[in-house]
Amino acid sequence: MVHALTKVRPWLCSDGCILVIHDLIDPPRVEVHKKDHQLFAGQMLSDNSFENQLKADQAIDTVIQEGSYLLGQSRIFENYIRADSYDSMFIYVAESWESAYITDGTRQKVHELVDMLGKDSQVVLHLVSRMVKLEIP
Amino acid sequence: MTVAADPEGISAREILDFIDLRNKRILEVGCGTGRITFPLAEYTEFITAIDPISDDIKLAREKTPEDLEGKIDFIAVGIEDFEIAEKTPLFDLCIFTWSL
Repeated sequence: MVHALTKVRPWLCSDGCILVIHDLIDPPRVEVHKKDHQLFAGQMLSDNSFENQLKADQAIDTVIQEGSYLLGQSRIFENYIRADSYDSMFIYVAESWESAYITDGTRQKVHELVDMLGKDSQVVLHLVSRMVKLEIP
Repeated sequence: MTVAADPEGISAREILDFIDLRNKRILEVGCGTGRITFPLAEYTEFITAIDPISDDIKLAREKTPEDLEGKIDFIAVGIEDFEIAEKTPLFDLCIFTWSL
């Protein structure tokens, strides 16, 4: 993935961006975007199993604490993305995972993320299958 | 059994919700048979859509609606081997859809 993203970067105009969309069906998946040369990432899950809720929380934790995130179990981007370079972070969840995104723990983590990114940043929780966008703060 | 991928067009709507595609030049990597390509092509200037599976590209070309002809260039090539010509205008957006 890194190779593919790196390869296309020179082909983008100065304000170009990269959008990665993963399968909604097979969790866990991660979305990676590059917009205005700032990278942002999110986690997409498609069921609300406890295991996957944990994975989602861990992924958000990873973004917050380490400036990297999980792609499955591989931190292949950890040397490629730093959270403090994000202008925006989009966290995608599938409809059935809605209950997880509204947990206090997840909400708190997102707020921590917003604080870390700064007041001008934007964090959007996006429920893919419902087309509901919740902007925080 | 027929399997429909994203029959409600959620992915395409997601993209349109985030990004203004008007007058944009797009590179779509892993376009398959045009699942995302066609709905996006309605809104954007031009899409270069690549996929290493030549059968998918062939089908995508066959499925291309008449009103979208001239707005999409389907190319049977993987990202590893794809290169843009020297004077090709740069892309505004590169989309990887289920392809990484």
